[in-house]
Amino acid sequence: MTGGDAVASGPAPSWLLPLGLFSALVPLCGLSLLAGQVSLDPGQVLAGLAGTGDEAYGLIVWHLRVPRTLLAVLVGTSLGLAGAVLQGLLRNPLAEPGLIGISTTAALGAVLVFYGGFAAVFILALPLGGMAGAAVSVVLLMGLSGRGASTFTLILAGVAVNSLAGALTALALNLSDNPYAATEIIFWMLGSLADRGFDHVWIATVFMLPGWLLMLGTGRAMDALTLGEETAASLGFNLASLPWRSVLGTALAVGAAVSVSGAIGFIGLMVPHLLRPLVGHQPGRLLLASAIGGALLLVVTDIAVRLLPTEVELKIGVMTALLGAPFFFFLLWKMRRTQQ
Amino acid sequence: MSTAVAAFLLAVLLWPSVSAAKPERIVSINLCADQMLLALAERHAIASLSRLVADREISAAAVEEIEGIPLNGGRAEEVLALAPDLVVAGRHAARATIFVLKKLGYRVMELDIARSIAEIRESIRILGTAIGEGQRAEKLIKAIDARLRRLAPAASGARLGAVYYQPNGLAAGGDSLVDDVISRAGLINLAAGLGVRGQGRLPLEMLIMARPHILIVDAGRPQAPALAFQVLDHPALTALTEKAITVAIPQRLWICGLPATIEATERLAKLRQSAARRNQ
Amino acid sequence: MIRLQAEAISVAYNGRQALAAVGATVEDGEVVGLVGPNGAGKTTLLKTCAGLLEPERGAVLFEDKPLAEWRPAALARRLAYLPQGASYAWPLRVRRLIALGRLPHLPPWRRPSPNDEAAIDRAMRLADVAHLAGRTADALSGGERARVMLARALAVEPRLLLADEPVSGLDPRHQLQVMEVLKGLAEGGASVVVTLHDLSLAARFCDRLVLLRDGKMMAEGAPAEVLSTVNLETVFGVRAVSGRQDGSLYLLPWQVVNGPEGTAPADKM
Repeated sequence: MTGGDAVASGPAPSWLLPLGLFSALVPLCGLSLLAGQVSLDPGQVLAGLAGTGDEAYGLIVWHLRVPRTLLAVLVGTSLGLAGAVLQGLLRNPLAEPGLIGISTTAALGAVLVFYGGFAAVFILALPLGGMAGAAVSVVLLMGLSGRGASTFTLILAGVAVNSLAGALTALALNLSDNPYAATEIIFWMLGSLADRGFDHVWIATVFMLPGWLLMLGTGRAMDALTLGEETAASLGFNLASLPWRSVLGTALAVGAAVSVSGAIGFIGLMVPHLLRPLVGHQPGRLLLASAIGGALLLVVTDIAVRLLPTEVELKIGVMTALLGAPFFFFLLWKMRRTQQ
Repeated sequence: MSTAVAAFLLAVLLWPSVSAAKPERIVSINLCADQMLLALAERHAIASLSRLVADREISAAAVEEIEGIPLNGGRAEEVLALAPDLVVAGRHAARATIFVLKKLGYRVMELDIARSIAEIRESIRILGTAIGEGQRAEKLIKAIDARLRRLAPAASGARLGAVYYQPNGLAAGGDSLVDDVISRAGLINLAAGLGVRGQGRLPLEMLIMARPHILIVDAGRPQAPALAFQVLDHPALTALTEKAITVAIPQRLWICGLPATIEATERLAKLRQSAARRNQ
Repeated sequence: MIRLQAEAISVAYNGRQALAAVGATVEDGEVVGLVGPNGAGKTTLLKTCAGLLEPERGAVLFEDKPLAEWRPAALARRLAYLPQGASYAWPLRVRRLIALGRLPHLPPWRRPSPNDEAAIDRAMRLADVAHLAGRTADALSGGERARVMLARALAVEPRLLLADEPVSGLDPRHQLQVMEVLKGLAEGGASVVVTLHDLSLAARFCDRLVLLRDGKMMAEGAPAEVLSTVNLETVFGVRAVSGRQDGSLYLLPWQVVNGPEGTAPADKM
């Protein structure tokens, strides 16, 4: 794997961290199958998985808990990966789909498609709407912030996009003929994994997978970009295509995720930050680790949301915000300190 | 002869107070009151009904019944413009409007939400008396009782479990009109057993574990899509409906406590009967 | 064998004519120095030769093939570009930073082979940064960073190295060391083009010099010819003290003279 003196120079092989994260993810997914409004013991869950025993167990496990867990993994992966890509591309540690408005515009796109009735006609229209919304804002943000623009500019741009998209979403919902629509904004803005089914899983996967591949493929170019654009070009990388591949990948994955689970924030901010020191700050190595780390964090959060003794289940976006906002403050404080 | 004169004089003297008690311009700003009035009052005594009575989803009133009656949006100014001598409203709705109207000296009658068929009877009696149609009210009550008696045989026998599952995963629990209807139809309201009071959230997992024999849903849904209906289309629920008997009851039968509500009871009782027979 | 050939290239940059009909040749085993005052177009010429800038007229041929016809990955394996400044976006560990130089040699999704690791080791030894392998880029001094970046370029194991002011900011010891490395590269058969401000280093370590001013080529040839008194005065606007040591020319700019820029001489009292 590495040459003779690599041991002396320090960091562990690149596959160690993703493997470690993955091996933590698997048991947590098992735990996720145990969490729910009806308390089932492991034996009953296993019986449900195997299709033996009471039919009700099978229904609950296969139709409710398995899709929910899968969706947490898929959405978490997409958000973690997108956060790492955006931070590498924009060379800004505060870039993440929620903060800079990509999730909100994706929600707007999904809302327009769903309440406009298009999703009823063609089910894949829903993630397509999410993707279109996400793509619009990524392109807009890249244009506004340029390459390596200041954090201040980027966050302001994000605030503007978030406000506008949020307002338009509320408007679209209020204009809907359906009386329930007006209160459903909470789902779109805060996100939820509750009562999702395999339908949601597969329509999300169809677009997430190519999105992930595109994003993971930008790893080497981003590593090269560490040395600046000219050196990266001299190392043989086509820098013109990099932003577009990142945009498309992010739009595909985040758009699909938001269209089935609403806008869940802060995963893309926290995970890359926590893992960056463990990958020696190398943007390419961060990608896979953030993907799995994102899945891990969202699964954990989703379990917590189900274990909380609230009357109505807490929206998962509230939980991620409760974790993420203090984290964000901490980041800002750290940045101010290094500036001084 | 003098007795007849005395009686005549008495009638003449009493006539104004009797006629003063019977309102001639009744305005209703509440859906349930609308429909009660249509059943009890003389048509010419109804000055206006609320706009909701025209919504076929939630109102059991026939188009011909409400034709020609002006509809109002429930605002105080609209009511004033109609110059009513009696305003009927729901006790817990439009509190501000009721307050203003009372302050301005209007006679406002507040109807309670009927949470059982017994309360429906009470409402009919109270409203009937207030608008001077006591006799009509009693006739209506008798008719209700007769229907209840007729459905009794269908409602007796094995008590099967039922749940009324609504959009957003809401279910009708204990202490609600739906609960009473279900019980009188000879069924057990499983949602009440799981702790839901009034209208409350019943998670899909708990619904599945409850294994209802009969699943009651709303008949028809709005054309425009909403997330609220996704839980009703969830594969888990679909799998459940393959084993349970699904029946769709139009909301308009039990959103308000009305004579029409008995129809819901009748339907459920019949369903219980055929389901019980199939089980045997 | 001629490694690189720039034929009458003209480049417009930021609205002005950065280079006008400049030509140069670089042969195997040569170190070619680009010298000239600030703004002469040295960096522009270097970047154009690296394929990073498109000339409006003329062409650059690498190994007899126009740059435009080279596949970027193939070119990147044979040509290394070392920019000024030694900047980096993320504070990677030194060894990983240098390992980026092997990217052109790695097929996608492939991990570095023992061969690659050996190349990295060699590069680190040459640039005298082997002892810094475990440090992060943030923990380096300016000079150390410059040498790390050089090691990165050396890790490419290129046939042609284009280095933009690789010794500015280095202490005398390391300046000499780096120039020795570049000379050694050339002796090994590769070619080097380097921009320099230090005229003595240019004279001593370069086989040929190209003198530029205002985007035009003023002189080309052996250091002694190019760095003549006349050229020094007209192009640089200085008079220098010169001498020879071990067969090499050394130059010490001594006095400012009235150049065509109209700079006033330092008045001698």
